[in-house]
Amino acid sequence: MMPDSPVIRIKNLKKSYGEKEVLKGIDLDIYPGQVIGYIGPNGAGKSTTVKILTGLLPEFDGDIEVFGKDLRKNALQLKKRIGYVPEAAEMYDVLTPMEFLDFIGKLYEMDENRVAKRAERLLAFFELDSNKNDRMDTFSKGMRQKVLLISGLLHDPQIIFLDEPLSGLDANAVIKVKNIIDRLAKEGKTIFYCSHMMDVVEKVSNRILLINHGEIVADGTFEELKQRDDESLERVFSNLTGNQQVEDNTDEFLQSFKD
Amino acid sequence: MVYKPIIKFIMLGTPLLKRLGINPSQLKTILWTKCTVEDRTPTSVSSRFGRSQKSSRSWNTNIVIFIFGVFMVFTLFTTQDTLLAFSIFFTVFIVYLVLNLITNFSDVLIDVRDHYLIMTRPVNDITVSVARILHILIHIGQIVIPLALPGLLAVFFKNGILPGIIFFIGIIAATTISVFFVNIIYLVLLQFTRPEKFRDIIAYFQIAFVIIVFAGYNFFPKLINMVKANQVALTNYTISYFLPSVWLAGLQSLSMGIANKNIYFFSTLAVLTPLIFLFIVVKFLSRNYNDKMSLMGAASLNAKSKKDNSPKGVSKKSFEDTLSQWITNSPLEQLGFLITWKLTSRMRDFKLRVYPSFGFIPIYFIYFVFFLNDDVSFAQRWHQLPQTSYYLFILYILVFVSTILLMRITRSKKYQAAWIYQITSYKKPGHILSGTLKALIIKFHLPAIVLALAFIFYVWGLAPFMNILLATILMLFSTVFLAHWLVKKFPFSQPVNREEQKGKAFKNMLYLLAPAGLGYGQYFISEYTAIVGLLSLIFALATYFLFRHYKNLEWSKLN
Repeated sequence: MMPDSPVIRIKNLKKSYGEKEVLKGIDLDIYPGQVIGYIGPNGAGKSTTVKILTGLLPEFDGDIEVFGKDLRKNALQLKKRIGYVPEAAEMYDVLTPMEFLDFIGKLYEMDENRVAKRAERLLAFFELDSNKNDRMDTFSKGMRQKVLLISGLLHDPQIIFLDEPLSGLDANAVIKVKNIIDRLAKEGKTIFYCSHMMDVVEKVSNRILLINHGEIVADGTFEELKQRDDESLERVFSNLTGNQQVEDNTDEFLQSFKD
Repeated sequence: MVYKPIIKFIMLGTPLLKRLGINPSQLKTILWTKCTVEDRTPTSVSSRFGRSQKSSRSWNTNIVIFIFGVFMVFTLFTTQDTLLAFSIFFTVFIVYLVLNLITNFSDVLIDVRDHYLIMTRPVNDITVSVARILHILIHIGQIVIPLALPGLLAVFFKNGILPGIIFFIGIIAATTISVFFVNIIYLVLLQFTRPEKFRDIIAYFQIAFVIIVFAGYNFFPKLINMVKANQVALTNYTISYFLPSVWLAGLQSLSMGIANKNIYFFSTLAVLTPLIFLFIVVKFLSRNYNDKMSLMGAASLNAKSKKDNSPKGVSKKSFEDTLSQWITNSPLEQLGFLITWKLTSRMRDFKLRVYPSFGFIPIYFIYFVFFLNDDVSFAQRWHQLPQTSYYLFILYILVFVSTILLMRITRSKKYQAAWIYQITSYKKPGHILSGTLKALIIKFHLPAIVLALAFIFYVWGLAPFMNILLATILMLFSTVFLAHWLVKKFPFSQPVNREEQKGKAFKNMLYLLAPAGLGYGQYFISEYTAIVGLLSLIFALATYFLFRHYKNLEWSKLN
């Protein structure tokens, strides 16, 4: 039931910082309605991929097409249809949520009143309506994360990149975000979900991509990836990233106390 | 909120902006947001003076700068020598602007958040670049306008329209020259330092800035008087030919009808140099500069960890590690010593709050010893110094070092990390405090004492030895005594709570005046060597027991 044309098509994507090659030729087709769980060890190339796809790193080798258009040539046009939620620290926290969302909305050239209406509704949904005019430097990590989530969704994008979107959120908010992801996917939007929390990735995504040393080493649904019935995504992860010694290391850890 | 009318003014150029390919509404929102963020973020320098985080900083800052500007007007009318008067004005102007820009520019220029928040949105490159340049110009304008306005008005009213216009051009030229210097300094810093270290070095400039402004307020009137008295002819000094402020003053003199070979020479340089500097900045420096700056954003990618070459299991010992083994005699005390030693070097906010105060000490000294009395010349003062008892003053002023440290050592922006002291189990928290005190004395107080003693022995010789001994012992005694009062909390364990500090202002004044009392006391008995010797012994013992008591403080005594 996969539609024919992918929303994102990546061909032989490579990226180096100096002599270090971070991405070593990635090929991918991503289709509407997919929730991609993008996982991998630290330094595997996850954020580099996301930074390239969101236009933060304009220089790379290989070809990327988004909605059938070359990302390099149409970055400006394509960014309008992409939403990005960075990790919690990246915001101007001396602004109030309304000011911050107004700023983001205007960068998307949205009408001021429309931004305000949407922002108010979304803030109310995340139970932040009473704080909408307080400066965010007093906010908890979870509250900031909610504002960042809203800022990534405000312009109703077709493709959404989420970088650890649940960090700091309480259980209720986590359920809300999971439901939102489900609903957005059903509407045909594509979600790129980067996280280290395997249990969430396992539940949220309908396609899992595992990247290691700049290469995709696994691609499929969770069911396809696991070799045994009782296996968890965590186990799949450690098998595929070549860290079979995890158990031995644990012994070493306990040995450290014996002196 | 000073930036609001400026942004409105910029937006008048909307048709032109559009023609250049700039998106005016995006430009406006970026400018508004960046200026608001800057306005609401306290600078390190302003937060030193206890300004509340909530208030907008620009009005406060502008008023302070404006007052400084009014102050500078006096330089224009102190002497009949136009060239000299305007040279002083432009020198002060350039120095102030350069220091101000160095200290606060990095906050304006290096904001990693821009990268994530703006570059991922559909904003074109030229809009981003122009927003950046305009933001910098607004930032500079907010300093230059209040700084130069009083002077400009004064020249217009006193000297007429043409000198006023030339003065206005001179201000723009001086600003360009300052920006050029700042650019060069930043580039040199970036060339020779790792990006992570960069902000630390900027912090030292901030410290120097505070000290120089403080010194300026204290010495400036005196220096003006000296200039007036001595009738200095600027062109007698070769160095004046190399000072941009003198060139600008030359141009100004020309507009006021003074003409000679030097004035023509200076005027030509005053017109040409800013143009050349501007060309260099735009053509070469800014590009190189932006690359370097954006590298700073990606610093984490290039961060290299120091390689530890020592064999496995043996970590290399640093100077303070070795020292701590000599100085302390319990693991807890060693912990207090090391944490204090290391954090005082590494926490930028501590350095910014404390180091400038150290700079005030020599300034106070010079001021009181050499400048307080106008009748006698500097050379005469220096000559008479060995006959005075000012060495007592030098030593007692050092108590400031400990007072400042002790008042601030418990405070930190990252105070929450101090939970570790509360959840671990040990009986005598006093050991940690005594370790802290030892670290502060050895790291800060001792070098100050050594420097002071070197100076004292150089000027006075060994004659007042007993008095110096007593003063030194009393200084240590005061330090331990103050620690009893001020430091009954763990180092870096309390928030930087300004409200509380305000209430304590009176108490703090007492702490600062107490050593002065001791100093006067000693001054009266300084003739009686036996008493001085006896007191030295008594206070040495008292210091020892007081310290022991402090070290054995238990949990119940901590507040």
